[in-house]
Amino acid sequence: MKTFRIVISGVGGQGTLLASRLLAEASINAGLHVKIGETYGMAQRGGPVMGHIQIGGTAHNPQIRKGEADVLMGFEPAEATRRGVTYLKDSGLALVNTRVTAPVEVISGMAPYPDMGELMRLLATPSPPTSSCSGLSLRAGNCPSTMRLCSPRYEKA
Amino acid sequence: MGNEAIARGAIEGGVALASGYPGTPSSEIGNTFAMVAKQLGIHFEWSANEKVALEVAFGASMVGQRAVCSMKHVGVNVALDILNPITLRGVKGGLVLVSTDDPSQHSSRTEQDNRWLGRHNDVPILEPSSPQEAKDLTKYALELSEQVKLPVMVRTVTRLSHMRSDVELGEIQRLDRKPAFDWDGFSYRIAGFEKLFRRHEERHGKIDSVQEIFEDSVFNELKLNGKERIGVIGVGFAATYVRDALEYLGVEDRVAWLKLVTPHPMPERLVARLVEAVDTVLIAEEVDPFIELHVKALAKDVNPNVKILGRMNGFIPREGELSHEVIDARIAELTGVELPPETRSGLEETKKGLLFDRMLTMCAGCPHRSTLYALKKAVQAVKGDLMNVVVNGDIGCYGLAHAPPMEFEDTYFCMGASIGVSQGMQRFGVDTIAWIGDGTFFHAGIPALQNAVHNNAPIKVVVADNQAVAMTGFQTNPQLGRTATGDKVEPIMIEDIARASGVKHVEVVDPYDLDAAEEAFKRMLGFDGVAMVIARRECAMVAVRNMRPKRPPVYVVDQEACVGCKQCLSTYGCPALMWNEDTRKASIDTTLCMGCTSCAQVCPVGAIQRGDNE
Repeated sequence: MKTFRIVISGVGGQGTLLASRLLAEASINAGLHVKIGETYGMAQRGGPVMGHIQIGGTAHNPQIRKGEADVLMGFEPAEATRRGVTYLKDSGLALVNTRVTAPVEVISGMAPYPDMGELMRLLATPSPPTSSCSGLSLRAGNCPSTMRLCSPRYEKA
Repeated sequence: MGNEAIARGAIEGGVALASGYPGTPSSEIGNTFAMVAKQLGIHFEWSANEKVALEVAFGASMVGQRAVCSMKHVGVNVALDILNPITLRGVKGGLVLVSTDDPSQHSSRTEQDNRWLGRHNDVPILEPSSPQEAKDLTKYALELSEQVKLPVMVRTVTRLSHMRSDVELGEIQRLDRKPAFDWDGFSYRIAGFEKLFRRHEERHGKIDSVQEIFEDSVFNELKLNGKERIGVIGVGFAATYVRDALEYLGVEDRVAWLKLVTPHPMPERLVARLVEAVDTVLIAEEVDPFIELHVKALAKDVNPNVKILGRMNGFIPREGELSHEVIDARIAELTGVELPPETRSGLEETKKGLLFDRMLTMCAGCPHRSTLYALKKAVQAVKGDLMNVVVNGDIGCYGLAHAPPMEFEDTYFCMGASIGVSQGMQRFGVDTIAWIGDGTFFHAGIPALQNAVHNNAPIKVVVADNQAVAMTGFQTNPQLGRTATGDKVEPIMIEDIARASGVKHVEVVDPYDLDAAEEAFKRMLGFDGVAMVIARRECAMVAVRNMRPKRPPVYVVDQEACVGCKQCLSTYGCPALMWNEDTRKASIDTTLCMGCTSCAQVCPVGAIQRGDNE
């Protein structure tokens, strides 16, 4: 099959790595080869986390080239823009959680949180369906400070 | 995962003992062993530090058992002292040292390339290019080690250690060897001192024999039709960028390539086949020009006119990890193929001014934040100015003390250095605070503390004791009273060590009680002599996990009472705190708050109170 490429970007603690792992396990269960490249440093402390997932295909390296991803799953709007959107191809689909997780720069008043409309314009190539997924996961009984998984189900904005 | 595959490979290779010290990107190797060791009848331990871990593994080898020891690249610096005698003396049971290097310093202070350390000590090195090879080569490394009687290094990089893919598993092997000390191989009493002591020549003979083995290794792969003018050597994981680039650019037929997973000792005849056949050789490797240097030396004999390109002449950047961008562009340049246009490059420019960097920060409710808040108030009160002390920090979550809004840390270097460097400063009257975590204290802080007492250096030590090795994923340390595999053992308390080491002023405080902590720090700062305060409170992540399925108590900002002074945000700065620009009031993100109460103590008007959970 043709390689299907997904980029997930989020903030440490949101379940970004867990989401890549679930996708990988689902792929393997479906009999497909899968490769995942995970980028996290000391990310449990609110740092940026990214997962590159390639399902099927013959690539040796797990990293996705810029402009090649079929889907971007953004768990946090600024993070989706900062790290994720460059990887998405022009015809790709962006699924973005609109709930803000402010970084320490914003909390301590060093920088403003970017304008949401501006972020959405950058993400909208073409226009992505967005939704506040954290609400869904909260209702699903998530615990604080460990996981707020963006539901793959979305409503068109 | 690459790291899990390494553990699996060791298990398939009949490993009887595994040891290690946690550190990104190596930690999941030990985590995997910890999960399955009991079930498989293997001993696994998180050792006190990397040197001890390797010594434990070597001991097992000397009694005939196969052993694996894992650590991050800088951990090998700590273990080097024992690695050298192991290579001189040899091994009995297969002994594998896994070094996980960190190109681009994703989570390290350096991107040191440990292949030099392998070469420096005549340690054969295997460098897998995929999780499958990580598994297969770890198993093979145990066999090779036993065959040639040298320890073998398996070297990975972050991208491989943290890569996931489907891996074909082999049989789990249990050797159940009867433990027996190899008297002839290691005993001064039986083998004699002279026989064991001078073995440099013997070690050279061993490493030469490994080179012969590597010449025919099935793990290396050479693709050469004799008509190519360009050859590329991809070493270990770097080979994946090379092979993908050749396919991406459609130049597979025009470029010869060698995937080399045995960088040391380099199989010269194999490499020569490529170097002799082409005009230009590009070498792709992480981090340093290790193979490049060896190929240059080899080329002098086999093809002096060949052009060798790589990191040495900057054709590939001299620092940082490789990427598709770099390797695609370099191979495109060499072959004269045009790169497909970058469709998203305009976006990079547009978003540049808009976004922040997202600095790392301590978690919501992190006790270290409370400790720092109280410590700063104490230093301000006793020393008059926060700049009147140098804060020497150490390695761990608390090392983020330099970040806003706490900004109360000046240095950190390597495990335990906070206590050592403080003494050299204090000697000349420069006041210091050594800021060290509980795990790091056990790793390398104890000799430094005893040095301070012995040499009368009146340093002040603050132990950020969160009862966890948190930054690497909650491994054990000697204070926790349980082993990596869950056995109850005698906890070793830091205050007992400090008192036994002659520290006359030792206090333990709960940092969630900000006033009490501040008073303790004031007493420490006023003490004439070596003094220590242990700020002890369980890591907030562990606390939240232990509360499950219950949710932690939630705190709220009374919007009527809040005066919008922002003190909670600017002086405390927990990520659960939020600011509403429209109402000019603070609030608390109830999904992040874990109920530590610290911000309620910080608020000057008492606007932060316990709320209802639903």
